[in-house]
Amino acid sequence: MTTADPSRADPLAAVPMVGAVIAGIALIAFLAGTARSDYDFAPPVSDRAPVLHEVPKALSYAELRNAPRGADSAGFDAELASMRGPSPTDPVPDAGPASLAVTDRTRLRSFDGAPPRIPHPVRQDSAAECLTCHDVGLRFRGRLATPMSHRELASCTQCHVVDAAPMPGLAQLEPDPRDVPNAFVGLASPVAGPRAWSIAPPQVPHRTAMRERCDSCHGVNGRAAMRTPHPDRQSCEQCHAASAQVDLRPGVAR
Amino acid sequence: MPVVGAVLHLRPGLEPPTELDDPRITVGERNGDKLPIVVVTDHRREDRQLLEQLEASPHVHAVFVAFVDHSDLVEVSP
Amino acid sequence: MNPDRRTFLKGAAMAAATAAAATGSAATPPPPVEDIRDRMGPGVHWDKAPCRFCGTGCHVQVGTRDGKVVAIAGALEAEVNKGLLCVKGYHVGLALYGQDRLTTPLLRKDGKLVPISWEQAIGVIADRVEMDPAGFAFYGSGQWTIPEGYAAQKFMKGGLSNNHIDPNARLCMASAVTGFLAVYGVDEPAGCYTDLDEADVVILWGNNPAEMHPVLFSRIIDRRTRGENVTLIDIQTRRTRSTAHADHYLEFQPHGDLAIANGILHLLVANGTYDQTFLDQHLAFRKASDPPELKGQAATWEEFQAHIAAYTPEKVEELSGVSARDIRMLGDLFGRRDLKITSLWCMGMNQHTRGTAINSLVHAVHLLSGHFGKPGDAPTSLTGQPSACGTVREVGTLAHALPGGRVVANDKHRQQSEEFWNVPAGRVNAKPGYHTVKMWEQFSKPKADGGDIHTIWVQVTNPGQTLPNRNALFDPSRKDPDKFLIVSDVYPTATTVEADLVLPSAMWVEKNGVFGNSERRTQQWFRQVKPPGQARDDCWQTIAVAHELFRRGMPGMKDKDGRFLFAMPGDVPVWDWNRYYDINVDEVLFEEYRKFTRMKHKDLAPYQEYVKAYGMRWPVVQQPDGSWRETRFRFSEFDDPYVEKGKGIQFYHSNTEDGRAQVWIHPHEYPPERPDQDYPMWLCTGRVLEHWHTGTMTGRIPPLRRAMPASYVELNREDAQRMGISNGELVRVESRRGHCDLPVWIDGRGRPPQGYVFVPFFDERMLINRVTLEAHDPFSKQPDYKKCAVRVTRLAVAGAP
Repeated sequence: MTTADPSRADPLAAVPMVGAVIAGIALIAFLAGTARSDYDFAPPVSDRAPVLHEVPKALSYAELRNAPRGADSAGFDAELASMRGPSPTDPVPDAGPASLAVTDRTRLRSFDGAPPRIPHPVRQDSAAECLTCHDVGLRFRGRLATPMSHRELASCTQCHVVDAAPMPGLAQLEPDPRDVPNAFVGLASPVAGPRAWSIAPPQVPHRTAMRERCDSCHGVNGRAAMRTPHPDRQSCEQCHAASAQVDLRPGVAR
Repeated sequence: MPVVGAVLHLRPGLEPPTELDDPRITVGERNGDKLPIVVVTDHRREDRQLLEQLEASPHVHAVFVAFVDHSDLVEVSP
Repeated sequence: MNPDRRTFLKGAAMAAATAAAATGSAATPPPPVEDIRDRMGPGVHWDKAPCRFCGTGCHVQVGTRDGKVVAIAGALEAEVNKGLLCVKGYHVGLALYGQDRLTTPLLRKDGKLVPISWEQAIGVIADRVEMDPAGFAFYGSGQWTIPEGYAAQKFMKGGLSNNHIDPNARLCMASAVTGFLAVYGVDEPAGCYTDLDEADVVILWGNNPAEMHPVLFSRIIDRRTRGENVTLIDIQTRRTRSTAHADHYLEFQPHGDLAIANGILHLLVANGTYDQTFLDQHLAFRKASDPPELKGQAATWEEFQAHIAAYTPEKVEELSGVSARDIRMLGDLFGRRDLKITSLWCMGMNQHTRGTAINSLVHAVHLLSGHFGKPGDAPTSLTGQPSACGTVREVGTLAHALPGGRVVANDKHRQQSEEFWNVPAGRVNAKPGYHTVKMWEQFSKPKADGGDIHTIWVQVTNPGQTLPNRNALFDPSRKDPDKFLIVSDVYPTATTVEADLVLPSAMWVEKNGVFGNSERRTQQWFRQVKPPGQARDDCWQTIAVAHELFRRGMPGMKDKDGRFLFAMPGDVPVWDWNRYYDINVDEVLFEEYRKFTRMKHKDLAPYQEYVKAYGMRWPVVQQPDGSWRETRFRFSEFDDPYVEKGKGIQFYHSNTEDGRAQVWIHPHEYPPERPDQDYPMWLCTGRVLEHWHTGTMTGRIPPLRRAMPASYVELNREDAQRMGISNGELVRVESRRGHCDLPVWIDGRGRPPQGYVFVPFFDERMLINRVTLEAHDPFSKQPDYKKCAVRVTRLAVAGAP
């Protein structure tokens, strides 16, 4: 099995419609499953996609036979289109300073380089469902599922944990004596890479290990202020050099 | 075949590093502490490695890349 | 490339570079050049360290600034983890900064812990030792660094002539040790993590690496995304996260693993698929002796065949609950020569009242089938603690052991140790000390009833939470004025709150250290930040007490020439904390310890070699060119320099002294306590991904605590329905020994079968070890935390639904 080469083509365009429908249905089921009253720890993303239509109800198999995408096909199509986010050829909006977007990222990370925590409930016994949304990434009613940037890693929940109690019944317990403040201050994320001269392409100011897919953060589904102004160009490293020093790559003096 | 044009910022008062004595490197005309070079290598990793090596030299303050051409590059995974 | 085009490009490149070089006057100095690393935060210094937590031994890069850890990154060049970490590893830096760090020595006065000076604290310990040196015990840890464990070992056995030193690793991997000793005559796995990259089949024997050794688990399953095939077989008593990735899930009844292993052996013989050449050249047979001894007595091939004849797949199904079809599947797999098979196990096989037996049987399955000694073909035990191998198994901080695989009962081993330590002949006591359970029994028992341990000094562990049957082994001494408990730790724990003297310790990168991980890899790191307040290194604490006793004239603290036991080169007075880092005490102790490592061919390289490396796997042998070479595959000629040429495989520490490994005869036996009418369910305890052991460190890391805020009892959905228990409801889990009240979590992390519950032990509010059983393996003395009989009852709450 080979993984798709992200530099070859727009990975989003390559998703067949069937996959998108499956993803959509799975997502609806997922959100239905998470519709709990205590589910309030999802930060809204600042650049949420416009919601064009209400979500249509999931169809029975019998209904699907007659109307593949249901009675409201137009709505469904629009919803799917909004999930994928803007096209790489759409104009990129000016979304203010990148520093705000970088700060926004830190809410789910303990320091630059820490794996982000999961802002929604997940199945606790398997990581099989993560890729439903995080494979190519999608937007859904103001939520943003970023595409995973290290496709070879399959045990997602090994590094990414939920940001709220996954189990019920905690209110009955006495307070945890270990629940004390922690004085750790994490390293901030870099905002912009250095340029050799004023209009030179900036260098990559952060590690690239396990961040093989630039479009995970800088692509069309990235936070607006972190998006590349030229999403149609796919070979990022051609112009934006990654520094081995920043990555603490083998053999680099520290 | 990657072609990279770069400027070495030499440490004040120091001579260019001996690493420049390399068939893959062409050295240009020195301007004060700045030395333009062109690096032609077979592979993108190789040029990065070479530039890092130069940057690690005690004679070199920094390396700035001024020109890159990877246009005919066919990447082969290791 | 078209030569014209290349010339053009070179010209263009040179023009651009020359133009760039020409900007600004040549006379003005270049503008300050930015170090790109500063973009990530100026002034961050990066250095290596092994992760503080489990036995995997991942290397992290620690980013420090202004004396504080500010970031952690996976070390890309470290072979163990290749840049990847788990959620604990990424957050290991936060473990230092919980705001209730212990920062001053505390002595219990009138029932309350009050601050005292270090001088007073060291004096109190010296008083307790002087009072009765033979009744003083040291309870250590697989989280001790190698120099810490070595110092404690030398202090006790080489100084006090007292063998009452045992580690928490007794509770964790002692059965793996006795298994290796019984089969190969020498401890620790022959294979290494490279096997995980090469195996076609990986078998998990009662093991959940997806949560406990996550980076190793990724190392296996991420091969699939790279297009490789690896079959994962999960032999378990309950469904876990590892099961989610498994190709086959074989659910067995507790102790059914003994039957399964015997069943595979049966099929290898019955089908004629065992490896005749391997058997002829490398194997001998062994059975239990009377009285039982670890090395047993010789047995014959015929006896072996007669023994396993009974373990037909159908019989094994009856004993284990695993279908005869699945047993045949395992038998067929091991019968194939074209596959490479690696077995992994950890606490499931070790915390087992027949731990030595099941360890030996799994080795037997690999040996008899010839799935041994080739990359990908290995029986490999994993350890839970970062230096259970390095500090406990290799330094020998066990009641019966001396460094380098030696034992106190052996005259020659004692003599050698006395020579290395330069202490008078006869200094080392020949009688083994108390193993963990016995030590705490003797500490719990009043002096008048023969409880001859009056003081225990605990370092780097939390027995108040981890000892089995805490009501019997921990609580009684806390009410006995004769008994004195000293605890060195970094945070308040279930143990420190009960202690008489609490010493604040430095942790992880607040001190120099050396760990040894599960694959024989020895890993060094330097101190990178200073400990808070008056917290000090555990190793310093031991040396300071030794020196106080030396100052008071205790003869045991002197070597043969009257010098202090821990005299340093240049006589640097390291017992003075202000001078402790004037010299690298770790390096001095490590070089001294290194002399011990040759006898059992566990050769270590000089300390400075480890400074340069991301760990090296022993035996590390010097090459003709002066370099040091590690060994990945022990006993295999192609890699192990100690195997004689032409032998192929050689077990050069064989118990039968003929280069052969032992295939053991061990029957299936039922556990000592099984569910009955009064206590109808099985209880298993263990860990979870987010917390490490008792959660002393991980409980103070906010992201980990939020992700796993409390302990729980995993209950089968049908059982819950039958008992009318709802998800989240508080229930009582009760055994004959004690009880623990916990919330129920149904279909959460794991899914137990009916009649089976699982409880993690990290939460000090819910001490499940009041419920567990202290019954232990006869050879390893390791208790069984994985099975006992309990009942689960609803806590009657007024108005509850």
